[in-house]
Amino acid sequence: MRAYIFRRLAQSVLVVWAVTTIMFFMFRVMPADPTAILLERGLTDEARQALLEQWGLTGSLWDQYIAYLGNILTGDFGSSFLYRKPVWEVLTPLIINTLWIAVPGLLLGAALGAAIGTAVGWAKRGGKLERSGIFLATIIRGVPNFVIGIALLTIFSSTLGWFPSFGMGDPGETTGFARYMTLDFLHHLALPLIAVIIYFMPENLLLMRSGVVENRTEDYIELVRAKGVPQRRVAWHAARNSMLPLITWLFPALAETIAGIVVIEIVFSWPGVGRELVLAVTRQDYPLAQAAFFLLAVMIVIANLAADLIYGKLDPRVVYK
Amino acid sequence: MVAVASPRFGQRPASPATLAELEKLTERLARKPAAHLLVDGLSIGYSTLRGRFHAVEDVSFEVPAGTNLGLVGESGCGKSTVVKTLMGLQPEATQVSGRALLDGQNILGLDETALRDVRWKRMSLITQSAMNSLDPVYCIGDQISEAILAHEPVSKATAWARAEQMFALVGLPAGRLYEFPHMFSGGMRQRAVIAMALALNAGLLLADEPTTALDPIMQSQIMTRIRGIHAHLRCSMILVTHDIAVVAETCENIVVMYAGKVAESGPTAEVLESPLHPYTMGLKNAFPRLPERGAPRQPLISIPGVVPNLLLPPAGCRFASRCPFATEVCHRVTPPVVQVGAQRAACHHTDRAAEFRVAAARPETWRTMRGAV
Amino acid sequence: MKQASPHTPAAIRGRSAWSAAWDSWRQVMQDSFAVVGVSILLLFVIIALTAPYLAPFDPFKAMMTETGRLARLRPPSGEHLLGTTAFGNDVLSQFLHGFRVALLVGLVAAIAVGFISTLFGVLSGYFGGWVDDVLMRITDVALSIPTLPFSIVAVALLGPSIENIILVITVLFWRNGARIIRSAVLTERERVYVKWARAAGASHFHIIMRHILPNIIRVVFLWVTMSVAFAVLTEASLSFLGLGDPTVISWGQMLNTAFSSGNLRTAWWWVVPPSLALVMLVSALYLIGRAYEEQTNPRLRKR
Repeated sequence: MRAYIFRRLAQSVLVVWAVTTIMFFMFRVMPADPTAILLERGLTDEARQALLEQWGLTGSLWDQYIAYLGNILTGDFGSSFLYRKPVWEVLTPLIINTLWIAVPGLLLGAALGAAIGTAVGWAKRGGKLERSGIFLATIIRGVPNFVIGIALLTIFSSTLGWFPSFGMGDPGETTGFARYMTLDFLHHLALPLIAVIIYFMPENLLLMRSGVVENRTEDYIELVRAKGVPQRRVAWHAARNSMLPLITWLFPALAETIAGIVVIEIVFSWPGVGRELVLAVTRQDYPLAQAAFFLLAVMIVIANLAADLIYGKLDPRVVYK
Repeated sequence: MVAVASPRFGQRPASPATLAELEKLTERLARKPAAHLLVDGLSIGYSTLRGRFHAVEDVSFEVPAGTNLGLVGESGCGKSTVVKTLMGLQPEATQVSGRALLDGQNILGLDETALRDVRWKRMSLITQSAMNSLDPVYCIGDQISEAILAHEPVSKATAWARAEQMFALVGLPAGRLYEFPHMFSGGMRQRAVIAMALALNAGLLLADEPTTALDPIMQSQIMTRIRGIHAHLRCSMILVTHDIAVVAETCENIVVMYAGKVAESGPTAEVLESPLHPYTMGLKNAFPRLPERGAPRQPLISIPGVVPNLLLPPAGCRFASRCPFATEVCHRVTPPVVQVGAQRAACHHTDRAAEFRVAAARPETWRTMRGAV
Repeated sequence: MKQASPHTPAAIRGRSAWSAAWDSWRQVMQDSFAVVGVSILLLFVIIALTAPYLAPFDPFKAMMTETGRLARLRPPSGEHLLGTTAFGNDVLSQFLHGFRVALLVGLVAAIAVGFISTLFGVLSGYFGGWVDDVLMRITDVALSIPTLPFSIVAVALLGPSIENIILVITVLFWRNGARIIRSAVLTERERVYVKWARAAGASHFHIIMRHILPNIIRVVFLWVTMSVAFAVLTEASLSFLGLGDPTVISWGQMLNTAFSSGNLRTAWWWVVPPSLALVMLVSALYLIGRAYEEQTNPRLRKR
């Protein structure tokens, strides 16, 4: 078990290294000169050279790459062009904000999707519940996440006025963790969270339904039925077994979902990593964009690792080697 | 995503309260009488894309309380379908007609709630493919306890203790209750399934080809185990198999099925000693017997041809196309059920059975028959 | 290359990918949800082809009122069936041009993705070896790259244009497809008739074209259908974030303008049509994809 976790960790490190390398080439090779934008603001040549040195943009590409890897290893992503302070200072508070909508959103979306998916999968084949369940889920799955956001905003915020339309609210006097325990914060959290849930649920639902449909004709389900346990309990056996493929699917899905959260953060002006990434990109604040992208990639690697370990917990047949 | 943790209390010695409850449960279960089953005119039909067909047609038999009935026939003749339907496990769109009276109550067409009261409490099942019959993500003990808890108002600890008793009965160590199905060998899984079937001491045990998936040595071990347990528990049993020898050793009565219909039925000794239906004669030939001392080794004879397509059942007797004694009437008219002593056979020529039996023992009879495919 | 003669048994001759594709299409069209999807898709294609003739105005032209002022945020009327935007553009004309961009991006990207995934999937699944190893390592890494953030960064760095958006989408989505197709090929490769055909002296090319491809064509279709949906969604998201091609009009861009100019609530005529069209298009694709999915998984079929 310990050896397995160690190997998976090593694998994850390798993946992170590959992602950082891709990032390096994207940011260093593609734009002609990252400081061009600063030059337009009337910098002298000496100031420009100083800036280049400050951001490690001098020397050969190879030297730059080594320096860059060294910086990342020490957690130094440089300073934001725009905020003029280290990117970590900018990003650290934003990570928690993103997690606030991502983690409960994904968990609730998965749980709701799994529950409804089980009901739809257990329903009579070709019956009303099955057909309408599949149809609705497929339609909702086809709604782009910013459309979900716009719809929620227009209905519940602009028209009904039940929820605020943007941001996280005014922290006021409270600081630290207490900030997240205020009604005002939860009030602001509601709509973006619901958007993430709606966005993430349908695919879970459809996948769970397929799993339950596949499992319900298995021999072991027949024996559970023969034992005379309540229908609910029989369905649970099918659902419990269907969770395994659901978790395997979560691996690539997480990448898409975290990506989708970027858009939801924009729609609700939720000050998270994704929104900062978009802002940094449009403002050509490359160090900040790079760090935000790196953060999102690391979140996905961690989530994959977690999914892998959860799978082992749920399936007794898995042996960690 | 919730994982139900396996109850680990069995690792400690059971508490006095558990033991007391277990004793009461055991007593209560031991008082259950053997069940009587009467199946009368059972027909089971399916609608498929290519039309409707009857997998089982007009099947009748009786299992007197405390006896065993062997249900034999080739694969695909409807034996397992009968057993599954008795358990209420047929697919949703199946059309079932006829009656199956379990201690006088018709158990066909019961709704799910009423079925729950019959299943496992009064009638339990040993499934065909124990390899896949156990839920892969629960430990065996949980799966046995689940059956007990569904019907008896006892604590989890007591259910687990009962499962330990059952494991002892089938010769498995109690510690292995914590293990998952994939950690068991085929024979052990089959024994676990048997332990599960015995857990509530149901009046009627349906054993659906309990040994098919196992190797011959394991097969005889399991059958010996079933016979031993059966003698100890005194319930009624239906044993589905294609192995006539097993029936001869285990069952008082036999029902021979062919293509969804009963070919012949009656007391096992009589049916196997003096079969009336040519199919029974052929089936008897198809199984190896140890030669009696001094007697010549009997040749193994198989019945040529295949079971007819039930979507387009042939007119007349369904066995006619493979029967070496078939006459013109056999291909035209459905044979009547003829009673001879305690035996019943669906054949036009039961009066010539003695003559057939002699001919059927000769391999060339089956080789030279007309209409063999 | 050794071609099988017409006398070779059918098992060795195999069948063409086209006939397999046609069979699978006919099977999909028996699914009523898929028929709904295909109808919507057809309608959208017709609108996209005829959009320049249907659109009453130039989508970029600012409309003026009789008094010579900008016709801002006019609700739907006889003149402007879907009203005007905050910049005086005719919403209907913009909306109709949006069909072209959505379908262009969707189709071109999906064809590229489908081609590359099939090529790599078949090569790596059929031949195995180092090709397979390299491909699997690449997809391992690629699956950890957050898709939309990657597109955001890449499009911003490459410059926002339709070609770059299509390029980025192709780079992102071929990896899942190659993986799925590879595993389908792996199962096919082990089938008895492939071994027979091999034993009968059929070439690798023949086996791939007549045995492997016809049997995985549904998986390819499934993936191509899904790729159209992903491509449409990605283009729309990028445009909504303001990273779309500024020289063309797309639905995502319309929504971006409405959103960033703060007219979401008031100008419903500006917001509803592109949103609805996006939902219909993507859902239609998913409905078709679902039918292929049901087909590729025999365990989902009714018994």
